[in-house]
Amino acid sequence: MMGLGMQEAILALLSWAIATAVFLAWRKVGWSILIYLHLFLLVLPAIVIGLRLTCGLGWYESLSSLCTLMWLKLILYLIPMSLAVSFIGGYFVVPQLHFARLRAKQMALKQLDAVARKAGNYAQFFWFDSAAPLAFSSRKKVFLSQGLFEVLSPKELEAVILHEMYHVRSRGDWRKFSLLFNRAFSPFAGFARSHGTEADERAADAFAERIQGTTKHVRSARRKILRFEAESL
Amino acid sequence: MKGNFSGVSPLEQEALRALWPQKRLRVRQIYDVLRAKHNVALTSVAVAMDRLHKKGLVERAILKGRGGLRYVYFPKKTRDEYERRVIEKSVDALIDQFGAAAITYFHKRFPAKKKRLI
Repeated sequence: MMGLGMQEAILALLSWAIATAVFLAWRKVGWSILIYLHLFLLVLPAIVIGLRLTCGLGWYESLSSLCTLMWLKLILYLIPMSLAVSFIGGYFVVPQLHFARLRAKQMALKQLDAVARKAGNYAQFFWFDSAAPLAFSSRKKVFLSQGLFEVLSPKELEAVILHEMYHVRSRGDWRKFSLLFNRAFSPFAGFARSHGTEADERAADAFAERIQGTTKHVRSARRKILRFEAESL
Repeated sequence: MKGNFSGVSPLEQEALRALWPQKRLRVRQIYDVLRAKHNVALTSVAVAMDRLHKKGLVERAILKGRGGLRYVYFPKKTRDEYERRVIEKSVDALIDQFGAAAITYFHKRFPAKKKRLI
């Protein structure tokens, strides 16, 4: 690593300090875009070190150098590229891998279609074999585990489905899967998945409660699901 | 004091005891049997059955019925087979740990019991 030293070390520390600050800002305001910026700042020192090694330039060389321009363009493109890759990864790749692993099967039950009509939206329902009571949505698909049918009452199950129908309407699922994809690159993205989606979860609960006219079924469903998770540990 | 040498929790043992006579039961049916004797939640029974399935002590199938799909559980071993297996493992563990001392102890205890059984 010839020619690399104090300046690069300072840049790395500065970049990572700003990345941490961006992450803390995300914790406050909850904007998903900040996580992508956080990722960019984590890799920025590597980009600059690559620039220095490849182009053999010091910090104050002319910007008209072809190599420098090429790398600067690459840096400018990296932000939208990381967004695009996260979106594609989150919207297409991660869900497909996830669903293939679950071996989910489409199910057609009149009761489920009736709940979807109550939510004022359309979705396809899929079932997967798991004793844990799990439910999630992706695009216009709602996935329900067998465990839900085992432990929830009909009204509690309706509450869970209405909750997922809210996510179908708000299209919040792509953010969740996108952040799941980003976990491969930044451990902080793992926190994003749990914290940044809390506002979405509260809104989905409120939606279900409004449709059912009571908070009872959402709360008891949540209690049962959390209890199953706790007792399974 | 009764100890638990079976590798299953008390609730899992109770669930097995409910399952053996009937040979196949759904989660809710097992729950109905257990709650007659204990203060137990449906979720806890579902967790217990899932654990027994993961431990290989019960089989699980999916049944289509009124209101949709349901898990139905079957014991993998009869009660006698299961109890024999637990006893074998416990005795083997004692012999592994205490060696000759354990064997001597069994010799001293069992002759008296053998006479009563005969």
